[in-house]
This record gives sequence, structure tokens and C-alpha cells, in this order.
Amino acid sequence: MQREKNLRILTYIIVISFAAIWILPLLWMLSTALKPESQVIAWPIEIIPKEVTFDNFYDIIFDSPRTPILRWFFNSFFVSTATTFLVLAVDSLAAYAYARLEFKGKNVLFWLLMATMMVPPVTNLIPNYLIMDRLGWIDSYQALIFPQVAAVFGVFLMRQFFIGLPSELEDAAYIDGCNRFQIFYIIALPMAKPALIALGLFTFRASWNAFLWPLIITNSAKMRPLTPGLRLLQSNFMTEFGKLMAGAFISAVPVIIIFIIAQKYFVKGIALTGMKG
Amino acid sequence: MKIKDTWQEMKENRHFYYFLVPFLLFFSVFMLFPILFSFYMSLHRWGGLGEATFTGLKNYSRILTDSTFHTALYNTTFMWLTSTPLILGFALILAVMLNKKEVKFLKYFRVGYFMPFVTSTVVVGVIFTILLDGSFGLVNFFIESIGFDKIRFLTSTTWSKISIVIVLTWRWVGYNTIIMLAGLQNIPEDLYEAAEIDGGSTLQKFFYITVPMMRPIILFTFILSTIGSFQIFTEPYIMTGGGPMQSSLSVVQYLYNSGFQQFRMGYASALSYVLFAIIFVASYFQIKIGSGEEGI
Repeated sequence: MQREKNLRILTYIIVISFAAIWILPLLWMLSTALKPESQVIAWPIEIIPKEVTFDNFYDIIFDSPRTPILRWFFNSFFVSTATTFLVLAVDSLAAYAYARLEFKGKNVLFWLLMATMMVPPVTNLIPNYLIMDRLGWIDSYQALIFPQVAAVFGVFLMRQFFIGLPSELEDAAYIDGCNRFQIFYIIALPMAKPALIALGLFTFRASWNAFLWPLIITNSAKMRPLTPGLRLLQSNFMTEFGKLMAGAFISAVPVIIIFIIAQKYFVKGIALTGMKG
Repeated sequence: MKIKDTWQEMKENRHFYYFLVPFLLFFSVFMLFPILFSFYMSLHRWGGLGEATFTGLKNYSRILTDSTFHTALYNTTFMWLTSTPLILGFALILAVMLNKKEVKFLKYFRVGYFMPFVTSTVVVGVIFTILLDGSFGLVNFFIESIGFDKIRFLTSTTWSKISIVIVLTWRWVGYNTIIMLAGLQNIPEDLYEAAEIDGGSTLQKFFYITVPMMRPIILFTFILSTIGSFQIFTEPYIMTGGGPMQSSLSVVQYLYNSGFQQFRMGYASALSYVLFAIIFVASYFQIKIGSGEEGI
């Protein structure tokens, strides 16, 4: 009994102290952003700053025309939202057809889609760049959004979900004269809500955090999303840790908030994709 | 007769086919075509402007003898083989602890472990650049305060790779913990009850029930980590720029440098196919080894 109690205490200590270590870098980002520049590298470190200031945030938002962080924020927000809705619409339509339709070549197409999932995304980097160049879309929103909609993952996730739904209700509606789109939109889609939320969260997070593609495809300061923007900030404010951390905080906080609100769906989504492979 | 039937069926199902069109359009233009075109380009020498010259497999044979590629491959493999056991080990231990019923409120701490996963790699890179700074970094203040010399984490050839491994571990433990937790919940409770009756200790239960039952999940996370590790770019790019002296140059950054700094588009495309082959072979062997013992 005593041994069991000791074990439990050990568990508590390990879990809590690790959580503290894990969260420390993020807390430190916030506290550095809130410190006056002179206090940033003071020792001993103050995790909770004695003197709180919003100067870093003010400077970086209103007083640095070469790094327009508000514009970047808007770009990230617009691109991620548009990508998410486009992916949800396009993937759920295709997945629904795939789950309900028998056609010649279905298996071949399935393996083709599977195979492309194994190819690392960097393989597409150069050809996609050349396509965008040919279309005259370099430094545009389309270029930031469209390649992300070609990903196969969402179709598999949604298909798996639709296969699990019973089709009797849909057949009845068909006999009553609903067309396929009405059935999809009115009956199947609302039932797929948990899967849609999980896919939406994943897509938004991936899009918000994407770095290599936006870095390559944007070249003017005003078209950059936050991630390559932050890189620019890093080279401009190399030694001004406070401002840099304010920028990092601004770009990290939306997804963190979404995560805290929708934690349950995130966890479920990971478990779902984890299990299904 | 047969054709007519098929036609009739297709006509009836035409809406379904319309459903597939938008996705297939995006897929063919921005996924399928690029993958094939990339291979085509890998057989050419092309500087981004003007005509491409067909060179056959020359790009590939050059990769075999390219010492910078060897360095990048060594660095990437090092990061993969050191970070993966750390990540999966921590994740499994944490998952087992968070899964205990008697310490239920601990599950709220998973938010802490999970936070790094939702934070973008660029933000993470920027934070750790400052945390690990050779003169003003928080970590070095701490190291100095307990009586050791400061470590040049990001500017020494021995420490640059290790710094990347630290960041990868910090970032991916939470994500893998969630997958492992889901796996743990599928282990039948009576296995543990039976072990308890037979007087099995906690450690015995862990090694003789948990680990074997979790093998498919561990294999799955191992493969995910392998696929991810070989595609590392952002962390070293932001934190060290691949240096010093290429000591943290990753394969993908070498690809980026070749294609978008030196404009050797054909060579970079060949690199991407080599990377694909490496990931494919590594995953294949892991599946082989992981499921092979089952047959005995």
C-alpha cells in the first residue's frame, strides 16, 4: 500500500514538473514580450515581469513600416480560412462520392491517391513554383491557397467517416425525389460534423503554420503571411528580443486560442487519424 | 447491351461524378502533374531560364558522390535517430501516467504538452534561438548559475545538431502522447487484473503487457517520426541556417539551397526523388521488422 502511494506521488511529480518544463518556453515568450528592453536579459530571470509594458507590441504593430505585421496577420487569417473552407467543401464532396459510388477504376484511383500521400511534399515544390510562374500567380493569394487543396489526406479521413454512416435514409430520400446533392447537403453532411471539425482544425493549423511554400512563393512584404514575415522580423530585430517575442506571440496566439477552445476535437482528430493510419 | 447499361448507370449517377470533379482538378494540377514533372526535371539540367538539357541519370549519379549531400544526409539521420527514441520514450511514459484512473485530474496537464504542437515551427524556432543563445540565452544563464561554462548551442559544430534534437523533442512529445493514450485505452483491462492476481509488479506489467500490446502503435508513431524527420527544414533553417559549417544542414534545406539559391532545378528535383526513396525504404523496413516477429 505504501509502495503504491509512493508510486502515485512519483507520477504526480513527473507529470507536473514535465508540464512545467514544457510550457516554460511559451510563458517566457510572453514575459519577454511584456518586458522593457533593458530588463530582457537581466539575471536573475523574472518569469513574471516586475515592470509590464506594451511598448514592444505597440512598436511592432504601429511603428515598423518595413515589417507590416497587421497586414501579415490579415494574410495568414485570410489564406488559412479560405484554405480550410475550400478543403472542407472539395474533400467532403469527393469523399462522399467515393464512399457511395461504384465505378470502374475505383481501386486504381484509390491506390494512386494512396501513393501520392507517400511522396514528400518538397517533391512538388519546384514544379508548383513553375506552374505559378507560368500562370502569373507568384506573390498572390491563389498561389498560397490552391496547392494546399490538392492534399489527399482529407478525402481519406472524410471517406472513412461516410462509409460508417448508414445509407438507408439516403436511399429513401432518393426514392422520394431528392437529387444527390440535396441528399449530401441535407442528410450526410450534418452527420459528418465531428469529422468536418477535426479536418477543419487540422487544415487551419497546417495552413497557419506553413513556412517553406509561402517563403518561396511570396516576395513582396505585403503579400507575406506571418510565418515568413516572422523570419523577416528575426533578421530585422536580431538583438531586440522583446520585439521579436511580441511578433512571435502575435503569430502564435490565434491557433493556441482555437486549440484551447476546441481541445476535445483536436485530441479526437489525432486519435482518429492515428488509429486509421 | 453491356455498354448501354454502363451508360445508363453513369447517367443516373452523374451527380456523383460531378462531386469528384473539383477535387480531381486540384489534385491533377497541383499534385499529380508536379510529382511526374519533378521526375522529368530530375533527368535534365536546368537553370530556371532558357532550355533544359537532357542529361539522363547524371543528376542522380552526381548525388551519390556529392559530399554536401552526404553531410546533409548524415545530419538528418542523426537528428532522426536521436530525437525519435527520446520523443517516443517520453510519450509512452507520459501516456501511461496520464492513463491512470486514480490520478484523473492529471489529464488537464496534457494541454501543456500539447501546446508546442499547435505553435508554428517558425515561432518555436525563433523562441529557441533566443533561449539557446550563446551569450544571452536563458538556458546559458541557468547553466552558468549552477557553475558550468556557457555552451555555444547554435554556433558550435557539435552542439548545433543537438540543439535541433532538443527542439524536436519538445515539439513532438505531446502529439505522440495523444496517439499513445488512444492506444492504451484499447488494451483490455482484464490483462492487468490477471497480472495483479499473479502478483506482477508495476514494471513487469509495463514491460510484459503494455509494451507488447502497444507495439502496433509504437510502430505507427515510429514511422510517422521517420517520415517527419527526413523532411526537417524549418527548425535548422531558422535557428542555425544549417550551420556552422553545414553541421546542421538538413536534406530539405540542401534541396532548397540547390533549387532556389543556386537555381539548379534539375538537381533539386533529383534530390527530392532520392529523399522519397529514402523515406519509402525506411518505412518499408520498419513495417517489415515491426510485423515480422508476429509470424513466429
